[in-house]
Amino acid sequence: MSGTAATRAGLTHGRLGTWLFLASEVTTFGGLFGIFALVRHGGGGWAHETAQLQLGLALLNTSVLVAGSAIMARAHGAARAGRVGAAARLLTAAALLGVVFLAIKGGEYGREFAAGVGPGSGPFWGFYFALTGVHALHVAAGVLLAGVLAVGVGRCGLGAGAAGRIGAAALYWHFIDAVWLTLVALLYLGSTRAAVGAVITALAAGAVASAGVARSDRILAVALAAGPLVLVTALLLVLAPDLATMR
Amino acid sequence: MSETARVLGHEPAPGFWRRYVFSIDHKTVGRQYMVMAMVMAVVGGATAYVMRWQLAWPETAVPLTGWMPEPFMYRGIVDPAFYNQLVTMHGTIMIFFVAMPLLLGGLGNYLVPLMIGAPDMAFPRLNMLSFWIFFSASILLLASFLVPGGAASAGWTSYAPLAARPMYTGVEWGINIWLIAVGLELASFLLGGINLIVTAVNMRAPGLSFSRLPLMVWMQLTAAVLFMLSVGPLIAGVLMLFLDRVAGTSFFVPADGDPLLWQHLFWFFGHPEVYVLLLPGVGAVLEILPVFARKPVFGYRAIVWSTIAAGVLSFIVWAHHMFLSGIDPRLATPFSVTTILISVPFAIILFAMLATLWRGSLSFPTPMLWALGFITTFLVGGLTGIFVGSAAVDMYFHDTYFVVAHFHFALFPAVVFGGFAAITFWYPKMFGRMLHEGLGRLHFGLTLLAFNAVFLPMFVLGLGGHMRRIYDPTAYEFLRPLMPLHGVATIATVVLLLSQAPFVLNFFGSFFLGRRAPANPWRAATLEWATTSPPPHGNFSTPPVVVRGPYEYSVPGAADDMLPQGQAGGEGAWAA
Repeated sequence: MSGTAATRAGLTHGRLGTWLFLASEVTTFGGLFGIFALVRHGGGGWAHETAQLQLGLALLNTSVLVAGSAIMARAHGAARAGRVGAAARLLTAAALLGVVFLAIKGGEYGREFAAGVGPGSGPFWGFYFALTGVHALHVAAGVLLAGVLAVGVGRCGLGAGAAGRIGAAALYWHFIDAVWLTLVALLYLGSTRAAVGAVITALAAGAVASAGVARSDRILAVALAAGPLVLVTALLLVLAPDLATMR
Repeated sequence: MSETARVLGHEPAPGFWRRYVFSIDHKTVGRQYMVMAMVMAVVGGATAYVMRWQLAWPETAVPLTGWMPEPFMYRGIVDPAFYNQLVTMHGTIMIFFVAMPLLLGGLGNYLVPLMIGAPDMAFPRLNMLSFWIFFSASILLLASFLVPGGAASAGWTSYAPLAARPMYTGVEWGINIWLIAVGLELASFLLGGINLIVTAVNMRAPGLSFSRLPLMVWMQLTAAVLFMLSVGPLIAGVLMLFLDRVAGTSFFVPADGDPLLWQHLFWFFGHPEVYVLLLPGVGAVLEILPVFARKPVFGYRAIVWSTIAAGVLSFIVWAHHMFLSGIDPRLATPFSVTTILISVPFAIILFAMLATLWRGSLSFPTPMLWALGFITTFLVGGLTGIFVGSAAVDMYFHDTYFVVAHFHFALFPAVVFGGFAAITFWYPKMFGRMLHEGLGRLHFGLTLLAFNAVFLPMFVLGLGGHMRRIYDPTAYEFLRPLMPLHGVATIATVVLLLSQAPFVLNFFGSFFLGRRAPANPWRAATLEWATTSPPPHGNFSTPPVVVRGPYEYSVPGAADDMLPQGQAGGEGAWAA
């Protein structure tokens, strides 16, 4: 019982708080994905609508977002090594990539609106705009986060806890990536198998990326992601009898 | 840098605004939540008064409301559309804007850092932000009465499709604002809950293992975890319902979408939410009983495991709110089983409370009276829950006043009895003054009698087939013989509201005139009583070290009848 509780848990306040926040985010997106899966399962499929989307732009955006995430991870590394200039530059680059993502996404929306398609054009479009819209809001928050950190590091250098804050922001970016990969599979590729594949890919990518991460972090990541995922899966399984009546 | 320095170092001598308004001290933020809860409770109580009058004496002028302008009331007579708004706002205000800020924002914020020997919450600035988000949501909700069309009127559950298209209720912006306000409130308590979990996990004083945690902290921690894991799907649902209203989507509108989905999302959150509200009240009672019985809590481990079991079970009972909504009977049966199963852990907790009293040296100051009042009234709520938990019985009861009586007998004890138990018990700690004992007893006695007189008749109304959510019972021939019971309930409602006057007088009067409180007026053992009343900024002058469990009363062989949980430690006990 020696030492402080903080060292007993092996995690700083910021990191534990971020993990808890992401766990609740899993249930929010889990709810959205769950409803999407239910309604799609009850309907006849949305091949026609999926074909109208710009898959090329989505894949371009995927690479932009993943690159941003990788840069955030490197910013975290630079901050831990105490390289102030590199950390500030990398954070700025990540924020800019987030802006590029939002610009491309905005262009996509513009084309769709021009083609006369909006959230009220049918069930698929409702989901498309709701899911990508919520995700875009999260990216915007990530841009804000990286931007504020970049300005802070640029002005005041790396104070106590700065590396921890950048690490927490990087965690958030990785989560936004995982959500986007799932979205691309669900909306643009339009198949459950593709979605499962994307989730597995995201998990594998996460495992590779976490090679340098502390063991306590990895355990928490699995526990906090698994708990809500199990809950959401249970929700879906329980709702399964309702599917019969929905068809 | 030590934790004390981290918390205190940033603000040299804060001015008025920093100290009392935009404070990051968890004690100020906690009291801000409690005051806001009381303000909202006045509005919630007023809605109950107008509703009850209309039910007992339909379409007669409600006294004292002649000043209300025309679209709402006609010289004191309630407009039917306004009645729907009152029902909706009563539920929304009492659950989201009274119970949660009082029990979680108020008690959780104030007590948890003190009880674990920490100088503040883990994220003091986030804590302040959470309160101000909640404050904005409250103002927004109240303002929704003033927009054209009035406030939300689709029930506090906002069932689709009624709430999904403005044309069904005639309320355009009221429900949109309701969705924004509730969304903000949920976000505020999500941030607050995460803050509380990190605090309770990471900032416990040396020696304070989980098995020595005061039960109030266990309850707050469990409540925060339940809220964090259940609120996500509802946030998603609120967003989709908002899009259904403003962007023309049809997530919850028949043909393209499914109205039942909203109910699933709402109750997937809504049922754990019941326990989020219940647990802090239970925690307060469990802190108070051992102090005034001078005995350790009976079955500490059984209580903790029961709480965790109830928390897990609370995620798989939600469809019992939907037995009448046309869900598949194959789905109803397993939910009946889990619902009846969840009464087992709560029965264990109630028996542990009774066993704590058994052969204790009992004394009955006001907090103890509220705690005992909780046990007796909550028992009625719990036992009637077994009736409505059974799908076959619920088919008959669900749309009647029986359910109204049941959930008021479950939530009123938790929020009001548990809340007043906590306020009267910790008031000396919070404000440094003792409350007046006579006014406290008067307040308790009147509230207990009036509460039972309001809601016991509703069980009978329900058994008589009286349906919920109607504006004028006299419109139905078969309900007319039941009208005297409505009269009893309404007179008792007026008494119940007036019974709060001694409390208001006591609360504000004692603040200025009350006897100065010593550090430990009740001779309690937990850490918050080891510091001054009220505690200084940073809570403890020397960081405490915990050496034993929280309820060491009447230990055989000990010189005193109470052994404090902590002793003064050294600087560095909170090193981050």
